[in-house]
Amino acid sequence: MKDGFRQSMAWLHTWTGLVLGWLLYFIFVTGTLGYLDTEIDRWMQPELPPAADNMTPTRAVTLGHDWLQANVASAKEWNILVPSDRNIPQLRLYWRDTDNERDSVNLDAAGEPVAARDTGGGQRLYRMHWQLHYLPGWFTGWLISIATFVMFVAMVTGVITHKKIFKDFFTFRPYKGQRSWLDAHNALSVLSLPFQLMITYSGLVFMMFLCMPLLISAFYGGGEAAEESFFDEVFLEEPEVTPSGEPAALVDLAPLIAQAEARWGAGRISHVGIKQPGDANARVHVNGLYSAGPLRTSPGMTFDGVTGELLHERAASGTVARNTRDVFLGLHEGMFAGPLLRFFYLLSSVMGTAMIATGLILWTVKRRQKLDSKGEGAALGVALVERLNVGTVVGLNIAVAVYFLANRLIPADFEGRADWEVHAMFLAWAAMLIHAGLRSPAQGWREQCVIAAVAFCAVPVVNALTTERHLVHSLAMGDWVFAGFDLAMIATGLTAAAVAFYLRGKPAEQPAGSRRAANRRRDASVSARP
Amino acid sequence: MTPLLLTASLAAAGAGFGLLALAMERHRKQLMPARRPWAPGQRGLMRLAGVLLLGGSFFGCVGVWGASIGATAWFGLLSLMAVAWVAVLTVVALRRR
Amino acid sequence: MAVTSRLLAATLGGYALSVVAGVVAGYGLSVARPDAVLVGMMFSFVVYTGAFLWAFSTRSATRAWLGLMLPTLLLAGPAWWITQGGFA
Repeated sequence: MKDGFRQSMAWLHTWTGLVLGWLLYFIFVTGTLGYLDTEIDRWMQPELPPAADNMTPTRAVTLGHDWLQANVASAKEWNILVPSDRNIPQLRLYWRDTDNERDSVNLDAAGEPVAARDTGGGQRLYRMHWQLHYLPGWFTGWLISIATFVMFVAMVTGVITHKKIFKDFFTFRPYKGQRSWLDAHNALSVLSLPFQLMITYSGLVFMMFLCMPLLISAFYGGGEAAEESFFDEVFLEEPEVTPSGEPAALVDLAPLIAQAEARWGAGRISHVGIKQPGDANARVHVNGLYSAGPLRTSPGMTFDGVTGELLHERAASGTVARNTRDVFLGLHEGMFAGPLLRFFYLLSSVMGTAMIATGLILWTVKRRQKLDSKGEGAALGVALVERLNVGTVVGLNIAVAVYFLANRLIPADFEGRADWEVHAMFLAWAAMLIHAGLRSPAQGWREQCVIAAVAFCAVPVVNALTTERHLVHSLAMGDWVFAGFDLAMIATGLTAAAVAFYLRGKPAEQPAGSRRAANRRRDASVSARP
Repeated sequence: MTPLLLTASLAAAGAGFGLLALAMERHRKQLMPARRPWAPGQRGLMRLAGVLLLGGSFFGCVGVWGASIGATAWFGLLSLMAVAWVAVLTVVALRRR
Repeated sequence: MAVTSRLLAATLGGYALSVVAGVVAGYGLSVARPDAVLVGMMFSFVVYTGAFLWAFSTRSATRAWLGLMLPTLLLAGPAWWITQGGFA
């Protein structure tokens, strides 16, 4: 065991980073994309009209209610999502019918349903951030919890290990091989340190009910009923109301909305849920927007569905403990952020992703240099990590581009197209890992950067060939979601192309200096043998 | 008022980090190679000024966004300006080689 | 071998310590039951992280185990008392 506190922390930092580095990279990539989930959703359903910015909550609820009443009057539960901000761009209705099946529809400004291609969209990418894919929920929950905790240990040990954290604060020395990779890893981490610590710790808070269940048992006793009562007390759930069987007309919703707007501010309604519409025991839940800050709860009002009487009101703010949890969750999701703050979130998220990538690459550069200086060939571990790095650091992004391409290329009415978009993504990732396995690392980096450049630049092209909402059209219409998406694809593709260009003709990752020294030493040891 | 305050916060953070960088011998050599190394008093003063400017940008952010969002935004602003300085110093160092 | 021992100490011993520490901290810092759970959980992660740092930095694997098990045993008593209705 290494002696010295700092050295042992360095050892722990290296191993925690290495063992789960690729999973954490996946989590950071999907987290970054998940932050843009609504924008990606909209790009992946080009049939939907641009955001319904001008719809007031009252109009949205009226249109929604009219459609639901006309089409699914017998449903057990209606939900109307009001297009209030960036997070809910369309008027969307959800309902649960008599068979407990859930279904949804988007309505346009006139209250007419809009058909859009079935897709997982950005939400699917967002969900992969904590649910991965193809794996059962109980397993991924624990895996993500463990990965998040390991990340936290990696961050703390990283700070402890970084002796010159202030001295090297502004330092980046390029073209120096291992030194440069270390500088990059340090700079990316330190300059976004508050965000990385926050995002990791709040990630733990997200998972804490799952991975620390003994604390619920300690205070409530074991078993499901005890757990239920804990959740009811924390989330201030109102008791479920069963249908009475007596039909009764649903109260007019407009005055209820007006009452809620009077309390919370005009336009600050996020969604309306109606339980047992048409029954004497109907209930109308009106929910406000998340409070204008990191506190990730919204106020709510519950009305009697027949008389319109206000039965129950729930404030957004609760006890200190609950608010602390909600602030952590709110900071993690960053949904309260306006455009400039969203840019900061994205910058930090990308820095975090690059922090992991540079860490993984640094490990291989360091080991490779050590092996070369001893004149040894490739050790299996290093060779494996080098190739996993290529296939993941570049390959995963290629897979994301393929996901977007699949969205445009799979026919809109193809059965199960949403699942196949995801299959395409993971098949592409698998292909990139296989490619990385078959090529030398240097070739792998170069070639996959070229593939990435082609794949990303192809996205706006395929968009133009398969839909009307291509870049020129979007710019002309001022549709910044579509234009921004296409431009981001081009920017990513050009970045990949630039890296590929920089890597052309480079035999390996080491700097010239150490390679000459390594060759000299190897020749010396060869000539010294009998 | 808000764009002005925001610009001021960005500028304060930029200037603050600039002074903190300049106070370091390594970066003084890159930015002002002609000068002699700072005296300890000068270095301390620069560091103090740098920290005060960073603190000033915090209050600017709070002024733009309010307390809770402002505090969050401040960290992002700092990251952005710190990254900008790393880029500048790297380019300067490469030019001088 | 020592690494495996330390790893087990960190993951298992650390988890035990963070649970009992969480119970005690939650109880000590809260007035109501649901809050105690929330506070305890959020606190437990800090303890668990500390346990990991301890397990991998001490001179020997034995010290790693001792350093985690002793506080766990010490806190187990109060934690047990709390689970038996400290809030009642």
